[in-house]
Amino acid sequence: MEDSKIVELYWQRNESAISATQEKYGKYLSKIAYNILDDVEDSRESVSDTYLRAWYSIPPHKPVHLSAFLAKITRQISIDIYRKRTSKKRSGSEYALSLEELFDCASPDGNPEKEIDATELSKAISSFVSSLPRETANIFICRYFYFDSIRGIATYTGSSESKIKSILYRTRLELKNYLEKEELI
Amino acid sequence: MKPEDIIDAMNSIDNNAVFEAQEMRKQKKKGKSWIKWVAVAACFCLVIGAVLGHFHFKPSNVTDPTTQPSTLIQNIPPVKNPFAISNAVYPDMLKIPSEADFTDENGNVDWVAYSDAFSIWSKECNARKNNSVSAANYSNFFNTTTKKFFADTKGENLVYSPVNVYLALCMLAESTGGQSRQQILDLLGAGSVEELRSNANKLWMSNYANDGVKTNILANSVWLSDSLKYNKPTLDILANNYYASSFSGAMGSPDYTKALQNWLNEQTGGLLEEQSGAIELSPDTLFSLASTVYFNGRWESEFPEHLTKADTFHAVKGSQTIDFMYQRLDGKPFYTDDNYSATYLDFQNGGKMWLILPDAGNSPESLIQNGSINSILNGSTPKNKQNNVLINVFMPKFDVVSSINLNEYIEALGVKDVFYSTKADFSPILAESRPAYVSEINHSARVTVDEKGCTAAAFTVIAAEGVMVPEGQEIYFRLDRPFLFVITSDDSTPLFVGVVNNVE
Repeated sequence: MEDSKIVELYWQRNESAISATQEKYGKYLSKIAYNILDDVEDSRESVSDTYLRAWYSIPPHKPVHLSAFLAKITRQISIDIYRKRTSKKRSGSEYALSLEELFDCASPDGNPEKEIDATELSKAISSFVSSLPRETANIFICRYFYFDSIRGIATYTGSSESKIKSILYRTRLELKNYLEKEELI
Repeated sequence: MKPEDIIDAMNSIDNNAVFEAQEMRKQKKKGKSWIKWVAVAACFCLVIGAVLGHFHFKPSNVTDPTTQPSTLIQNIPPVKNPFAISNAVYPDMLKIPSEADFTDENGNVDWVAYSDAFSIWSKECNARKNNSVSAANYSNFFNTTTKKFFADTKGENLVYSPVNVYLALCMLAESTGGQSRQQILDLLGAGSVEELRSNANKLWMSNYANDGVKTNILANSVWLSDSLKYNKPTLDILANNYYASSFSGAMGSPDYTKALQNWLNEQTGGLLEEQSGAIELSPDTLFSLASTVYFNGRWESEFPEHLTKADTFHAVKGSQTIDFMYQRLDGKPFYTDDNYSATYLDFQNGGKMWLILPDAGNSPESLIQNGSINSILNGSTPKNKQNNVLINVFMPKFDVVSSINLNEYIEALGVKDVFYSTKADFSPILAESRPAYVSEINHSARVTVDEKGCTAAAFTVIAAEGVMVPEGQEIYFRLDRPFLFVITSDDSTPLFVGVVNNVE
């Protein structure tokens, strides 16, 4: 079903909106949740919460790209679940690896306690991503939004893992420089 | 700030961007399949891409390969490439005289003429060898880079060609100026760019071989954009001192990328097709430098094929079954030290493959980190050297390949500025100043060995590790667990070094 039709069902408060969403995006959302949580049970919970939250947010929202809209919800819910976990359980997922990779960008001085303004940072990150060449932006988003593995990205872009690593490494350096310039770190 | 803050901020990026990335994720490109191959060879390629730029290139003089005298080998296949603007003129090298050329219709060999031709040929070979680069410079580079690159192999195989990386970095030094260049010169151990040029030339002359017996072909090239202007003097230096062919085309066009990949495949005998398939000239590329080494040598003493048998290799990833070759070597030195044992196999017409087997509990990587590899190569330290032993060599028939990105390593070795557009100085090559940086240094390598020869390494396990074996006794050198190999040239320059952690 087309996105616009599904959104229409939400607006009509027709519950088949949820089954349509599940059918079209269930797998896609599960993958995002799993990349973050590395646990099937938790991922399932995160995805069903996503449907519920979508139900209560459309309307008022009328997303053009339903996939992106839903992805952001699943991503946020999954990250919240991850953060409630004990430190023992917090390892192994692609999300956990992404955090490690970003450590240098976030606190090059080794001081993660420094407070920042979340709104300012969101603006900065958005404009940084939109300034990147298209392919680089896509790869950056695949890694740090979707938390896809390096190998996965290499496979669907038809590149080598070392090339993907190199692009990500380069982009993180650029991000660090950018954040420094913006005086956010 | 915490990394989590960045992750959270990523949730507010534009939905269009998220959507676009998702479109890319949906594509499933199939990986290229492996080529089944049996040849024995080692090859390496290194591609440095510099991103950003613009201009008009004036073609330098195109050389006509047909002007070469026919008695000399035209060493490199002519570049049949629509983007070629100048073809490297390689050093001429006499071919080893063949008896057939001195045999008359009745089958009588003119031995006097043959022996004259042979002595001319061997004089030429020796002249080239005497030209070799100052050992200190290169061995310093070899030490620091090897230690760095092998610091964290994570149990994977890794093959590295120092000569390949050295020559590629020389070309990068020529293309850069100021501090960018100085940092490269420091790593390469050259006081000035003139000294570097002379070192590179000596390294080239003493290692380039294509005389009918041994093949060790070095090739360089520079890939330019047809919409940018470059400084001709620098391109001439690359052509004259580094034998670099040049190409010009539309960056980002699939045809031009294909041309680069074809060139890499051609120069490496098609052994690195999978790796070269990942190399591309993107629209952002200002120029790209490529360097290759192709080595093919025959064992002086071949392994009898009928003695090859499947056996177990105790790989890092668990036991693996692979064919082991076997031969008995008499009169080869055998070295033992506290934590390894070593010997070597000779190639016909010079050069060796060192096989270094760490004792149980040591990894091949640790022999690099603790400097053992140097002691072995320069013959200084091994505690025990035995000349009069019979060595039973069991060596896996292996094919190892690796592809690594050197950016972080090279940066960690002090070559920093070229990676930052705000600091990099490419004024020697780019006619118009523009921000640019080195985006990728990819080093791919593959080494294979079989009964007949050529590249790669293996080791020995002795029954009593690290213990001196009485003279005249037999030693079983069984390379059935992770080991280290080094291929050296006639003048002992290390050409390739690799760690075989797995054989599958």
